[in-house]
Amino acid sequence: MTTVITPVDDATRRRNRRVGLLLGVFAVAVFLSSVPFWQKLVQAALDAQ
Amino acid sequence: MHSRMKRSYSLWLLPFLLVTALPAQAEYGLNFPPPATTIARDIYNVHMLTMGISTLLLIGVFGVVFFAIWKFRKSRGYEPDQNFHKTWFGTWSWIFVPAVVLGIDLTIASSAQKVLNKLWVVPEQEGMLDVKVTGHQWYWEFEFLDEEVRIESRAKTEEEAGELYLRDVDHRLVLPTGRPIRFMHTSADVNHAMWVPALGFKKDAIPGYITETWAEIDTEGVYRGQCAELCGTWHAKMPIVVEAVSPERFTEWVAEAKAAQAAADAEAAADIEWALPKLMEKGKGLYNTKCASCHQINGEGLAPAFPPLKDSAIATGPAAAHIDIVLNGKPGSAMPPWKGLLNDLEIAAIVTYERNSWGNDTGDAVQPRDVKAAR
Amino acid sequence: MSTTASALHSEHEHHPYGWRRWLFSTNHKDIGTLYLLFALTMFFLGGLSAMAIRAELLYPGLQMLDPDLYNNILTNHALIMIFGAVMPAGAGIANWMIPLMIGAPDMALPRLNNLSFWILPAAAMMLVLSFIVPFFPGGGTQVNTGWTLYPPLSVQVGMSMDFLIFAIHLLGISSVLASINIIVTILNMRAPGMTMFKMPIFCWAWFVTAFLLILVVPIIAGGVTMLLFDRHFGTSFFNAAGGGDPVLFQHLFWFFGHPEVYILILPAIGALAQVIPAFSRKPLFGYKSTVGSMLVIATLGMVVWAHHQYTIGMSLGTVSYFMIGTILISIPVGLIIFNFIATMWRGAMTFETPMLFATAMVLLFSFGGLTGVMLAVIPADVQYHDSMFVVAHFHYVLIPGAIYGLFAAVFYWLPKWTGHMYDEKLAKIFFWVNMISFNITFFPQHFLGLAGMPRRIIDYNVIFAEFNFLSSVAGLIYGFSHLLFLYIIIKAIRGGQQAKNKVWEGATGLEWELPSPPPFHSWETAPKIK
Repeated sequence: MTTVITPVDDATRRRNRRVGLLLGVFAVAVFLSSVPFWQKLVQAALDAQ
Repeated sequence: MHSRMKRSYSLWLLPFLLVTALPAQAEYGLNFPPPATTIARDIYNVHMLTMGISTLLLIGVFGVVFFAIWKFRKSRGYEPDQNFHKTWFGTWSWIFVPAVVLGIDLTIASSAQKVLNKLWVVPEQEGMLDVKVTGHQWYWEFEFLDEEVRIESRAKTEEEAGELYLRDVDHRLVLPTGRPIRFMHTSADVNHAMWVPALGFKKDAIPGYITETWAEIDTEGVYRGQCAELCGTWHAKMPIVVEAVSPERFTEWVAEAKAAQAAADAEAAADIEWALPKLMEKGKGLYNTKCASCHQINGEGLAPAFPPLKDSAIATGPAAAHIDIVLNGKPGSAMPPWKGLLNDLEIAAIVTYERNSWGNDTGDAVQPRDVKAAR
Repeated sequence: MSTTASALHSEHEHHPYGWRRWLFSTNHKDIGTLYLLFALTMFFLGGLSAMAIRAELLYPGLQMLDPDLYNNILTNHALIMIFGAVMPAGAGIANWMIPLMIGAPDMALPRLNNLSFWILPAAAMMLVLSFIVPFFPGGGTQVNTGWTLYPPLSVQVGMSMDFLIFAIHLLGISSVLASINIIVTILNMRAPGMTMFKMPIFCWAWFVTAFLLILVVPIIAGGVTMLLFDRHFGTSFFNAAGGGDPVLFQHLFWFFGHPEVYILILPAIGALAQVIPAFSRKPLFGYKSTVGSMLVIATLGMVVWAHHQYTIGMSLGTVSYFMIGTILISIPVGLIIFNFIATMWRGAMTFETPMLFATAMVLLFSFGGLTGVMLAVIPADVQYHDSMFVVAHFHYVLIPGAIYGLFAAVFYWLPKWTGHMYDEKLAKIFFWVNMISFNITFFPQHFLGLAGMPRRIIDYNVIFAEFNFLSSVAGLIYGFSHLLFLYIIIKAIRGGQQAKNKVWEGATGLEWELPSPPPFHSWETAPKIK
């Protein structure tokens, strides 16, 4: 038996999850964009050659 | 006249606290100290303009709100106007309020921009005096690049400085009046910021960067300031004292400083055997000014950041390792390399002092030539 | 639909009791309460550190703290107050009120809601550990950088900095998750007929704030991650000797740090937009322009960060841009203040405690905003920067701007939350003691800054003694006044006059149609909005 913790219909529940996931992905993308780590990593790889 | 005007200006910023501030204002500053450079005077005027505008606006806001509080109260039987937000005023205020604020903003910004242009761009002209300012944990180093004079400026101890404690230094930065000076700021360790309010600017000293400011001092006098960027343990103990003197006196001072520097270099270069008491005497003075802010006068350090030297492995072990750490510092800690800052004799004296004080009794009299060999 | 309703009914019978009710809670009101209690605890912890700072500065000389301990307390005061007290308090009120105000049964993502709260105590533990590890042998040095954590100083610090970095990561994750939840709730869970432009301003304020959080918190997370790599894994993002740039961290920090100010203030502004119309007994003046102003504040607020760093040596063109941009923020902020005053104008005002705090916020936040305009002006800022003037400015912004707004919100909704009226007489005493001592604490600090006292110093010259003494004495009174606040809250939780559905005569909004306190699932059937 699944517990219904918020009394909303399934369509709303699915919509909530979808929008929430989208925002989560967006936050991770912002995090990654702030890190010039990737550039440094590529640079280090090039230097190693 | 000038200072009285200043005081009355700042007093209108005191709507509530007039009473508490009045006893203090007789002796203590309520506003910037009197400016000593042209740019500081311009800055002072911009400051007074924005403060004046802000004060007027604030009086306006307080006035309107207090009037509303007095007039539009339920207890006075005032009936609320449910349609006030639908009047022409409510419909169009979102346009005219921003327009008014924009007007005020542009007034402030345009007068600020003029001063900013002058402040920000170091004038290109002949005869500029170049001073390199290096922040260290926790003292200032000033280098007159063309004159080849270098001074270190440290806070005086409480006993020496008295009333001026934390605002007084052992070696003042002597500068000439009537000549544009270019300051180049950098740091040897962490960020610092040189701030002398009377000169009118503050600039960060950042390792790896050289930031520029300029000033032309027009009044002789002594101007005091402090480090403004948090730089660790003794951030509070990095005062700056500028002594502005006539150009003639400045030339003399440069000559004196150079002579003293030459004498010290000659003494250090002389290849003689230094006796232990002589080194100890020299070392004590140097240790107490250059090392004691971290390792403390009593050699016990300040846990956990600054290790003790008393009974330490370094100060009682082989002399070579001891000389090495003083010369090259300890990476990843606040211990800087001293090789660029101290000559052979000074390092020898300090190391000797540390090895024979506070119960350390190696009996070593480290010689300048040992240091020279280790460089 | 009917199956959902019956499932709901059985669940209603079986919701957990005791400690399980809190640990496993998916209920927006219980989680809101947890947030608020957490914020209150941290508020007192942060207050305690502020008291230590003011006690140290009572007289010139070293009173009771070592310099590094002083710097550590200073760092903790900021981080605890910002991340531990004000942000969770805002999130707590959002959790409690948004579903009630938009006619929803609960938050959109209840399990996520549970997670985003329970990360907080872990983060607080890390923060406390960063404070206490240096007292153990081998614990390294204390965090002596201030909350700005600028390298290279922050690279010198011992392992307590690593605890701090992880604390910031956890706090960041928590607030990003909470923001996601708030946005989804506002987008998806509004009652039929509740269009975005019929929503109470408080919900709008949180909607904007949540987007700001998602946009800037990951940036600080990136910044401190790079700091961690510089400290332990041999990179040199911020080390000039290794080809890095110490100023890059400052840019990343303030790209987060400046919008953070609006993150702290916008929810308070939103609360004020509920409180002022209620006690003026007429609708908010300029609903749409208030919403528009908040959007403009959020947008402009994201592109003016470098006004915290005028002294790092940027080019003339760059600093001119940041100056103009910063000064322009006065336009939307001014418009909001104007709308609040116009709401009071021709109203029928009464001054219960929420309205007292709201009025104080309008007046004193204007003061802090105006010194903000002074600070935006670069030629003058090169004098004010890093002086006590700045300390006075941002306390005038954050205490009236954020905390008074939260106090107004707490007193406004406390009867709704607890079901009991608070002690109005004590609350009024609290307001007056708090407001007066706040002003005496921070007003003199403007003069200290102008006279040349830098911020973040443990010891100062005797010329600064008088104002510091005054500031410290008033500061201690200010700090202790909050014990009265605590007492009023405890008293209201324990009992008191039963609150009606509609607690305040002039209050409008869906939350006042439910009983006080509201039922377990706030709106089981969505209300109809006309």
